[in-house]
Amino acid sequence: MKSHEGWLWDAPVTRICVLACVVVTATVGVCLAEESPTLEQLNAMEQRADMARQHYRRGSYADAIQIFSELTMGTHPSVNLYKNELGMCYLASGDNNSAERCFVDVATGVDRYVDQRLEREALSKFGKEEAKIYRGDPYEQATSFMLLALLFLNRGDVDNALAACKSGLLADSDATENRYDSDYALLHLIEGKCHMIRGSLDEFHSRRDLAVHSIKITSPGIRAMVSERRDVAELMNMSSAQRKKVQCTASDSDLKARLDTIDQTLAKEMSAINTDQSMGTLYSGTFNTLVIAPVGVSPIKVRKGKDGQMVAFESISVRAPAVDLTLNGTPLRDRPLGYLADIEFQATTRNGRRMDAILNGKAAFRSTTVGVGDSILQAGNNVGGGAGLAIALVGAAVQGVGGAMTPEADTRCWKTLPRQFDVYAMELPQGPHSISCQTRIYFEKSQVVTRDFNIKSPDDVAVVFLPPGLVGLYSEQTHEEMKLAARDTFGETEAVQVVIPPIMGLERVMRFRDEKNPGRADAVATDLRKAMRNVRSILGTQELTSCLVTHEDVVSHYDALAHKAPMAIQILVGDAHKKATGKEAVYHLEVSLSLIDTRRGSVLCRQDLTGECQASKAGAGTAFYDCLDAAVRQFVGSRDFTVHVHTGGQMASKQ
Amino acid sequence: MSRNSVCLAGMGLMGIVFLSGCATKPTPIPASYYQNRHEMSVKVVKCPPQAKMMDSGQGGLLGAAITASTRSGSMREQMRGIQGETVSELLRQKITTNLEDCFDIVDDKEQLAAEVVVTQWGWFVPTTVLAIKTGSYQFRINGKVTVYDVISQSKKQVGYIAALADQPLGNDPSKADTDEALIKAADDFANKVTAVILQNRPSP
Repeated sequence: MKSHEGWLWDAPVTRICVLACVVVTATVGVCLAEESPTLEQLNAMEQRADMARQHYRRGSYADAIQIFSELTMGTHPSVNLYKNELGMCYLASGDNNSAERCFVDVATGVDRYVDQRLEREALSKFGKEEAKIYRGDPYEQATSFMLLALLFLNRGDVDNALAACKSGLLADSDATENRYDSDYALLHLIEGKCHMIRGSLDEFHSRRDLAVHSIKITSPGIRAMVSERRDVAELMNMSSAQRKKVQCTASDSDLKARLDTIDQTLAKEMSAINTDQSMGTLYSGTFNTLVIAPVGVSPIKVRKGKDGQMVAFESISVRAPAVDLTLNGTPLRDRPLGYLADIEFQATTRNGRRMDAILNGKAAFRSTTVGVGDSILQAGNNVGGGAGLAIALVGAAVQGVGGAMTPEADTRCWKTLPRQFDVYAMELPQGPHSISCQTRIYFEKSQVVTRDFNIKSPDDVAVVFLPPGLVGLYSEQTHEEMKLAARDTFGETEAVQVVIPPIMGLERVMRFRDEKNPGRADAVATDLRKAMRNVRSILGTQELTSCLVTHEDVVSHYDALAHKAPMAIQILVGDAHKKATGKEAVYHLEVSLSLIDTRRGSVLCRQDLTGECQASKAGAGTAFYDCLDAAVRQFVGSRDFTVHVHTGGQMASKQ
Repeated sequence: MSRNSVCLAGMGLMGIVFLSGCATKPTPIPASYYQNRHEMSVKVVKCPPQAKMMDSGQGGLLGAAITASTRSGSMREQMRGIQGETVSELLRQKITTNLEDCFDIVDDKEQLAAEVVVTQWGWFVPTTVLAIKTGSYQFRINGKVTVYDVISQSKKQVGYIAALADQPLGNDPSKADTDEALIKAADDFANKVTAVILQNRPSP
């Protein structure tokens, strides 16, 4: 028998079979026992997602789609977030079918994928909220359904569009007093249009009236008053002890009187708003084309409070140049409606989220625990001796329990959403149409994006999604107002040859990555104005007159600036890396430089260069400017630049 | 005689204590400096080149050892590449931006000189005995700003403020968290110091 077994094992085929079985069993075992990703893995995913978001904001949709597609493989707590963001990338690239698949996946998958362990951990005092499954805030859920409804409507699936609208409105309807339960005007309008297509005119009118009401209560002049009304209403619901805590001394009758006064003023103000005319075909419901243009960047969630236990929204105020739209070759003069889907407003007018309350509880428990521990510790110190030491150790342990709690809030949010969706509603004749959009990157006109669509029947509604502005190209420093000294800018009527808009692609803290050791990097706090001034002085060496302009100047006064300066030098900073060999290091900065004809928006010449400099004792900070200056000098000294500056100047003088 | 000497020495000591107390009192730039537009330079004259891991100091020797080894290693890992130069430059830029409304910022031949001294920067962790962590990590910048009238004889001090800026980092700060907190702490420090330094500026 033994020899038989030995014979069997000795046979190569048997060995292979047994090993294969072991491998298969082990693999199946590992798959079955696959654990949810750790917090480190989730954080790493979020870092990859940030890269994808940057690609999206720079118009590199293929790169963004690739990263988000990788991130949406498998199931993990952030998968629904990345599917929403992938959907936005597909919409921007004009692939509506793929976008629809993403939003449908989110709509059907939110409640399907539940990891009980992660949910339990997130709710416990010691769990991390970031590990919980992302479902999205009400504004994110409502927007996902709104986009899905538009996609269904575009392909004539009215029933599903209606269902998506209802789901979106349901997701958005849990605010105080039900005052804000229906303030997503675009959802009401799409729902109304669906009813109209199905022949239910009464339903259409009721939804349209709800949309009008939503527009009124969310209109900029009314918002503050509505918000105050909500505050007063909330105070009325509080007990006297709770009111004392928030330092409110008003009595019930005072609050009631205040509420009545606000209601009266609100009614008066709302009746003065004329929505019928401003809404145009949206009011009558006769539109058959909707053009949806994303504008700006939605606010992001940040941690607040000593322990980072509170969630707050932070606005990102970066303005992109206006978009030129043409419909069938004719410039579109219609003014868009931006308040129908104001994401920033939707995000910031909600409170009392369930998860926040848990976080607050955690923070309170932690400070109490730490406080109790401190008292025991003090008692131990007072007793002294061996017993005192024991008591003190107990106190320290109790404090340690407080320290082990993890109250910091989850800041994951849908970052590829715009600040608002501009909506153009039109009534077009049946047949094929095309809409083109072109934006500017400071003075340079971007590529024209054209979307073709066909209105086949009277009930057909075409929904055209336009790509967002390229806000990711602009430097982080332009998010705040930039001040320039008088010596940097134009004189009273002075004209110059070259204008220098802010350098693009800069972050406030950027890093020179070590090529040999990617984990190591030298950080630099970049000074945008200093870099721009250096460019100006290099242009001066070529006897070119130039001046600096701010981001806001170019966005708001493009024509006036183009009149004063015929050319602009635009610089986009890319990857920064260093090569270290022993004690020596060489820094490299990839820079794309363009000379732009400001009046035509065309590129006169463009070069992609790598600025290089040897390591200096002054460090990476000096190396950054040295590399940038080297690239600018090379560009300005090139024959191409010299020829075009000359011809560009001549053309400008002829014009 | 000896009693008088003791009295005098005591009074001298009290004077030193009193004067040193005055030196640390926040002093805004006097209103007279806003009458004509002055030129001012902003320089960070001192900043530790490396980040420091700080704690509440209640952990004794053991606590100091733990903070300096394990926690300090974690901090260095997440702050890789950030040097004192990075912090100085962020502070200089933000303080310059804040002061520009009232003064012309120049590099040399200035009338007023704002000198920034950063005493400590890095992570801070609240701890108790045995270095037990009792709260979340913070990004901390600690320092002071002194404004001198360089035209006057003996470089007269016309403004002073010491400030501390803390930004929450959470319990397991990542590189991204650290970068964000660094920028926010620098902005916060700059805003705190300029709010006091410019307290006497005329209202617009």
